[in-house]
Amino acid sequence: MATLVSDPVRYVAIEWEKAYPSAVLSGIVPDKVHLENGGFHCSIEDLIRFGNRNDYSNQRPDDKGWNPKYGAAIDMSMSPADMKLCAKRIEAVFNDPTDPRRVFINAINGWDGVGSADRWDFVGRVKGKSSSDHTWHDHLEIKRRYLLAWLAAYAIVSMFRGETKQQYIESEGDEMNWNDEITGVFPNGVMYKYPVKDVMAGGNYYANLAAREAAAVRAEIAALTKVVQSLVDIIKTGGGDVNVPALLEGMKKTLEEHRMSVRADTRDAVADLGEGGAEQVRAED
Amino acid sequence: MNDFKGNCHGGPIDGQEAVSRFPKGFLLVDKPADHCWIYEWDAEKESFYVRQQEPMISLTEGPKNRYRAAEEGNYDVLAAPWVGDEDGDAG
Repeated sequence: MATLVSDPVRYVAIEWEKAYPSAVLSGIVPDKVHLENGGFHCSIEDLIRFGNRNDYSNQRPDDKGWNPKYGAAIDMSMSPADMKLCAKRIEAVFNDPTDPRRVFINAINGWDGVGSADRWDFVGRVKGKSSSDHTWHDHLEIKRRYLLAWLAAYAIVSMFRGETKQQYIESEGDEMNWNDEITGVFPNGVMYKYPVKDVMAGGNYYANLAAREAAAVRAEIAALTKVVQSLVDIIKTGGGDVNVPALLEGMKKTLEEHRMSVRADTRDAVADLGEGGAEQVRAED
Repeated sequence: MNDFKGNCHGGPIDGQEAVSRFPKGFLLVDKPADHCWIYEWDAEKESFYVRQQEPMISLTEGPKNRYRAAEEGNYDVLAAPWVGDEDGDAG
């Protein structure tokens, strides 16, 4: 059966086009040459059908055997200016190991405007080179595991729109229902459903949660600082004296104890999610 | 994969070199203006020739829409190089 394109992947293609004035879709399902040579544009069924079962796009744990009827790549042609802008947005996510949007992407070929074309390998965390045709079109590879996941589609679109990590977390975090399910198909054809919280229980979810906790701590610090300043003002107005350095040292110690406690709670919370590797997470620090 | 690379004759990118991944040529699309040009590949001359000097309407629906070109393996789809923020600083 020919490669299918899932609704979430089609959504990514449509929204990616909208995000850049010049962007035009230039490839999604595999053509004859792709079918013969393999790659993420092909479904796993088509890889097998054309003798490419061991293709590079069917090797990594988040690719091998997952959702075998669906293609996992999008090609987007853009002007040089938009290629550079897109590269900037890609690199913002690529260079931040705490960005939760990273988890859904295998790699992207594109061009940052300097020298030859680039390949950002999100799994290997390596920026390398790619073929010269990628100086005028980007090639996105979505991990096959997430081809049916709207969560993945929204995350990837967020990156292409140039949203910051914080904007993405704030747009998804409060509304995201961690018990929502991501569906897919195992290699043996059995349908599966995983709660989002399990899927995200890797390093990137840890970073998501940690980022939100850090934001809460920063807010508390700001509030406490104002209270202390008010107290100092009152005391000085009444003719008293305040040892400000000692006061600040005491505050710092209290806040550090609070931070350590928050980190311990965060580790426990992530460990409870299962897929992140409970023992590894608990063993940190 | 083999690319098809050569100079363009006619149309808005006359004299410029272009590359197509597919054997019949490419569709050049100016999305903001809704315009497109078809450049046909001439294998003998290793060059691209514009089919029609004046731009056509870039269709997104119907039997001749540009998404069909993206799905088939005959013509590549290229973005007009003059479109977009020249400084690349936005966002």
